[in-house]
Amino acid sequence: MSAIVSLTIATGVGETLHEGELAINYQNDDAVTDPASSPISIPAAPALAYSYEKYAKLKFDGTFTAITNVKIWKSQGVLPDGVNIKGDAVEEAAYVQPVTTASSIALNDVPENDTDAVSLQPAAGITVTGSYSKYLVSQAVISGGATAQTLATQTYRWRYDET
Amino acid sequence: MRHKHWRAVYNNGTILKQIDGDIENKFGDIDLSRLNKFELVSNNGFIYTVLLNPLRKLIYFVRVTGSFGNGENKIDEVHHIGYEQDGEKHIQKIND
Repeated sequence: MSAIVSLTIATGVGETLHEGELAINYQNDDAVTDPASSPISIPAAPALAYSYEKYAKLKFDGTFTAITNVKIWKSQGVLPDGVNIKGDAVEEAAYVQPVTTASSIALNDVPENDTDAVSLQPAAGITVTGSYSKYLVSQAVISGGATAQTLATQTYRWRYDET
Repeated sequence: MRHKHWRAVYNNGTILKQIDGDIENKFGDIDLSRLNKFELVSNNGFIYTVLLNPLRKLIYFVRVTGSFGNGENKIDEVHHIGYEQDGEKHIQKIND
């Protein structure tokens, strides 16, 4: 055995944890449900529309001594004109209820290569099974006048070093 | 399940295995001060060996890469094994 990694998404006022998720759904709802049921309305230009912020973190179970160098980036998927995904990291303790207005945390475009990847390494380190990385707080930003469509699947890639 | 596991050989000849029957030892369980040899043992029997001495500091970790969002759960695991001596790192990368 070794470390076992999984995706956890937090929602709500009280940081409800949804363990073992398979994707981050950008939608007009603070939930992990099918995004098709809560689409984001496209505003008239030059206004912007926002998905709810998505708080996602990696959970480390299994047997290990330490997990270091945890990083994440978007590795595949082309965003259509007028759609951006912003994302930055915060410590777990900084969780606040996700908003559907402009995020004060997710300010930069999610990097698309490992060189510029977002570090999810928490300051306290990861040495105990069941520990989490920092949160990646991300948000889809829709420009006024964008074409209505279902956003094609984007792929996030993560990496860490294990001893 | 990984295909390669480490084995720590101490200077008195005793061995600490990562997988020892039903027990899994952690890398942090190794007494680095008494380490004579560090080995990465493949399930097919192939052994990668790092010979150590007081001037050589062991380097070992597994770089794990994976993804989500694309329906895949493929995880790549690469063992980084080697040593540091006189400020120079000598590392071999071995796919699991």
